[in-house]
Amino acid sequence: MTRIPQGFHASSGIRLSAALLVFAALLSGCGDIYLDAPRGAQVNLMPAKKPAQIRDEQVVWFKWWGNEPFHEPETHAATIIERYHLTEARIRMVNTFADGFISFFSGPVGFPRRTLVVEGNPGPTAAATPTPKE
Amino acid sequence: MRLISCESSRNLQRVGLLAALALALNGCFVTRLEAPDNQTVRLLPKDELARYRTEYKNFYLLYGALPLWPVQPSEIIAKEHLVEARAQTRDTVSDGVITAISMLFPISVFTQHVVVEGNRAGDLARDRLMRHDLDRLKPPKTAPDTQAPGPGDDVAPAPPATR
Repeated sequence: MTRIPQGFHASSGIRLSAALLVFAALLSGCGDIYLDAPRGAQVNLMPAKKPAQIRDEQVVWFKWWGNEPFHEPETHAATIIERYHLTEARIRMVNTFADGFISFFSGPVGFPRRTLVVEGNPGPTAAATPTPKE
Repeated sequence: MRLISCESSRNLQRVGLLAALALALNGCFVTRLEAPDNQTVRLLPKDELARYRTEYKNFYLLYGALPLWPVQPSEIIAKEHLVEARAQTRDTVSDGVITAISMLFPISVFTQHVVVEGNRAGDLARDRLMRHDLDRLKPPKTAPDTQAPGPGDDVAPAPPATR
């Protein structure tokens, strides 16, 4: 009678699970995104159904698994609100299909990405054209 | 020749496996910060004081297509009667681990950590009252010429005493 190596399947399963856990931990990253207003500004939140004149999307890239953003102001909705002089806004933090797909390859080496969407209306005193991006 | 084709098909398999994994570990979900209907809410800057704070996790099934009891910040704003609010989304290592464990089963679970901070009307009124009381406690301002000179101030030499 030949003995079947019982431990083989179990150990390879554990190894696979451990590898998957480590990979997922590397993939996940730890990025923080702030849905806030610029300092000293009077900005009101908009209801979901109110029409918005302005819509802007900002892709946020992080380095070192989300420990640090590439450009800190990009993690704040306040940056977009200030750029367009919005007096009312609604904000969405979206994990898009593109974010997930790209982060699958860039995340394990430490560069996850997310998307921040701001919609809103500028005040009556705001300039007709937005301040250009830096 | 046969070896080369074998190798290229293996490479194709690897690329296919990577793409499949990328799709499997890909979740689409959203966290919204909006005002509840018929309620005026001020968006708080990051450095302003917030008396109310809550943290929670949202769970999404099947690649984010099916949210499980999702709590959006606007629901908390309405429930807690906040008149000022801000939010923060945070992706933590635990979120990745939950997703990885869920991958071992046929369903994939994605999580998102959300922080909501804000103030109620009562908090603002209390703060205003406290500021008013502090202002009353401050000593009245004196004229600048009667103030005692500080240690770093230049002090003019006193005129010589005359008899």
